[in-house]
Amino acid sequence: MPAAKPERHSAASHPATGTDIIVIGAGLAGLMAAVFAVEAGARVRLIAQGWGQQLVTPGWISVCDRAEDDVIAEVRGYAALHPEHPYGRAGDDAMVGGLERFRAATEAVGLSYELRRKDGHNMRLMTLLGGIQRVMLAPRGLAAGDLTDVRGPILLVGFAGWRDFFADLAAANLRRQGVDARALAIQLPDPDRYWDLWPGDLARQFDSALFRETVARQVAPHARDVERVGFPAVLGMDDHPRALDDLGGLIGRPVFEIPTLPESVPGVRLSNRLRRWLLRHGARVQIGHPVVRGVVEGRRCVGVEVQSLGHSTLFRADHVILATGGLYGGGIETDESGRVWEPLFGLPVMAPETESRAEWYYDDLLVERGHPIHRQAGLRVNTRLQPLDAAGEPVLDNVYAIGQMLAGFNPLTDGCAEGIALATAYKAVQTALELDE
Amino acid sequence: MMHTASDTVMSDHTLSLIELTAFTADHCVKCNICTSACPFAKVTPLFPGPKVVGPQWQRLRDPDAPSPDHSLDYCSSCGICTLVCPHGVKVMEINTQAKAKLVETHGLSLRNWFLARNELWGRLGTPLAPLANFALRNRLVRWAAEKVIGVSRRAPMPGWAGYTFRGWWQRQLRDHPRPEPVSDADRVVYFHGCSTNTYEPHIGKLAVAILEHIGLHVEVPPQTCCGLPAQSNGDFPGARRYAQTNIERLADYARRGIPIVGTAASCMTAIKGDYQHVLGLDGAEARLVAAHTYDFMEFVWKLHQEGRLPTDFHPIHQELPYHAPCQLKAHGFGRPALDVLSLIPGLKLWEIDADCCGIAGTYGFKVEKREISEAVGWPIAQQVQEAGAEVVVCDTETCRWQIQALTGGTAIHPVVLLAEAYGLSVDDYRPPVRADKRRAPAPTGVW
Ligand SMILES: Cc1cc2nc3c(=O)[nH]c(=O)nc-3n(C[C@H](O)[C@H](O)[C@H](O)COP(=O)(O)OP(=O)(O)OC[C@H]3O[C@@H](n4cnc5c(N)ncnc54)[C@H](O)[C@@H]3O)c2cc1C
Ligand code: SF4
Ligand code: SF4
Ligand code: SF4
Repeated sequence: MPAAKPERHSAASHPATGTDIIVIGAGLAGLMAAVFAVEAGARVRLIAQGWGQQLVTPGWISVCDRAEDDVIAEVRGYAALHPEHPYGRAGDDAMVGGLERFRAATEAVGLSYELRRKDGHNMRLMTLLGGIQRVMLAPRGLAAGDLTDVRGPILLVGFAGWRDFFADLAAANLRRQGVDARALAIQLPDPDRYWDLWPGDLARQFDSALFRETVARQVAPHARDVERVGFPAVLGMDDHPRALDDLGGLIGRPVFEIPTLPESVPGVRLSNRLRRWLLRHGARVQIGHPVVRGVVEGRRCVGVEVQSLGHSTLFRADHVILATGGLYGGGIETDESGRVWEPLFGLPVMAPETESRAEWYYDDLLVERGHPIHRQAGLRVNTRLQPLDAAGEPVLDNVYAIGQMLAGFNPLTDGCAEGIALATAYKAVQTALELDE
Repeated sequence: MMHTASDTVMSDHTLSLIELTAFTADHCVKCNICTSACPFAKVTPLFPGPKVVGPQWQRLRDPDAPSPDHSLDYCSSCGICTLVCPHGVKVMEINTQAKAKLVETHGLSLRNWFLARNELWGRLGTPLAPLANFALRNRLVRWAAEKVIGVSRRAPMPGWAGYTFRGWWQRQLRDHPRPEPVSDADRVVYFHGCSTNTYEPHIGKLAVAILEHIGLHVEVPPQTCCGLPAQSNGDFPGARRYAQTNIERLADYARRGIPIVGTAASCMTAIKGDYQHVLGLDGAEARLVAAHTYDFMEFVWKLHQEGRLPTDFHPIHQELPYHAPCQLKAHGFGRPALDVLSLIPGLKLWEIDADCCGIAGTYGFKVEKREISEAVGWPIAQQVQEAGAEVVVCDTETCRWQIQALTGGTAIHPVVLLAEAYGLSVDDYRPPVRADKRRAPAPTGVW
């Protein structure tokens, strides 16, 4: 990470501020906004209708996947030229600060996220099918699979009969891209005991030392002449760091993880540990009931109403951070007539200038530049991340929009969704608590 | 182009709530978020988890055919799946309806019928309390109960108090008649639930003392079991009878705008939510009652927000863990017990990171499920032990019994702390946590 290290965000330097912050949304952006706000001394209530996308995405942190050189430098350059882009809005300090605080916060709960590349470039990590994805930051297990500096052959291990990962298919695809990859399918002990094996079920098995031994015993003979050994990302749930090290030790080679189909175990580990951290630090974590409206007096939001059983419940706050996830999180809604709206505050939403909904999409599903609706539906904000009206004026003084709620990027194709989540989560907390003034 | 919420068109639907439940399965994107959160699927290979038995198998359930699966029986109806689903799928509600279908087809076992009738046993046991309590504590009796009807001998069992809360309250009114309040705005209805009535009357006595300390006129109208034990055992006809009785007895208060307040968070979940969403009783009266029903701590916090709560608290110098029961999480009102108790000087509470304690109403009483139930609750015991805490705070009774069984410590309802801080006590109960009464309480500006 480059030298520019913002100074104003260490947890210790901020005593309790007595400020109440409500964060709406428990995706990566909302979760981290809650953590950053608690660290800064605020009283935090995290409210969400269900968990966010970190439980289904690979688990790595895309900052700018297409960057060819130093990622941070490239983002800085891009943001300077595109002030309307969320990175431009949040600013350099927030991008770097968000990443640094994220690494510190995850380290504090026993998960390390590694950069691995000393030159600040993206790593090259493999996908479930043997594709290669460039990403800047990843949990230690995934980062250990960086193919940039791979020297010898790698071994991919799958479980016989497990329908979620086919090692030979992934290895064949890697070989096509010039990586010397081999495949091995091992037997799971006692496979008939289970109804079904979701990634989480396997991960909990790997928490057991005995289970790891039976796996290692099958893998070790095939690993003698390979450089590393890759497994689906199921190497431990609660005891992941130990499972990773222990398995590597038993096999005698470094092991790495490959993202799976949902649920994403790296995402579950992160969410579980941060939830426990939040609770221990006095935050309220209320997952399950949707906020149905923001309660506004003049230009201030005084609180939010949650649809609870029997009647709605009002929660008051000094600041509200809107991290409701955009089109795919429920933070922006659409209907068959082509309307696009923000349901909680009625905030003005940018949307494609098209006659009909048909023009929201191109014919080709996987078109590289992405579909118009994905790039354009979102909230326009100022550099304080306050949503703006058509005239460019903030609509509310104490509401900040972050993550995929923001217009100006395509979270599905741009390869920067997590970086933006962290940068804007960090920036919103800084703004709300006036730490950046 | 800019759009705002004022353009929004609300769509009209003609299906009832309960019919809509099954259709929420169509919103499932199979993300497995619920599977990863289900506390029960995590600990047993016998249960394939919420996504599978909920939205996935819902596609195979024909309303006119018998239910195609039995693993469903391992779902505890704790509702965590519904809470974590980002797409609004009512997974637990789908499961609970499907369980009722199983019962309809196969009938209710003697054991489940027994567990579904908490209210009956509470009443029958009271006059025989010494004998009944002896039997409950007797290993031979518990062994026989496990073998003959399948109630686990390790399950935590309450003891009968030997008198009822209702009886005590009637004596109170006879001996110390309360003046009628000037207006209905000063009235509150107390819903005690079966457990407070027969096993833990001290909770009701403390609750009433607090409400009166606040300055409210308490009424305890006739009421019956909330119906939750019957509902969660799939006995919907039984549950509906209980629910209907309560709705009839409470509706008039609701019509007058009088809040109905209860100390058993799970009973309040039933009245506020399950009557409509699970049992399908969504008539005007049921909705009116739901709208005026509050969990005790929810109500107290509301009074505080309205500036109506006295804060003349003695300090309590303690740090205590708090467990938010799954049934309480289902309310969606946050953690009012933590909010209220944080007003007491010196008292520091922290929330245990656990979705469910594992007892899930009557689930953990069943012999084939006891081990699963203990595994689900284990994270609570672990965190409590790590913190070296001896007292846990928790709003529902079965949770408290389970936590006591798991930790070997004591579990108390939040009213115990609130009453203690107010300096209120009842004759037959000594709280395990004491306030510092040497100092006069902080003066209060209200009431
Ligand atoms: C995550 C996932 C991945 C899959 N991947 C693949 C794949 O890669 N390849 C593949 O071949 N298959 C795949 N499948 C399976 C495939 O999607 C299904 O087999 C297929 O959709 C079944 O079609 P259907 O029309 O029979 O039922 P469905 O698509 O399930 O439709 C059933 C319809 O009936 C409605 N309905 C049900 N009950 C009632 C009622 N009482 N009254 C009125 N309407 C009712 C439902 O609301 C729904 O609209 C996948 C399935 C899932 C869940
Ligand atoms: S029910 Fe909800 S959480 Fe579960 S798989 Fe379906 S969409 Fe995901
Ligand atoms: S109700 Fe509880 S036990 Fe049943 S599927 Fe949902 S989370 Fe699992
Ligand atoms: S008794 Fe435990 S199971 Fe019931 S509400 Fe308790 S957490 Fe859930």
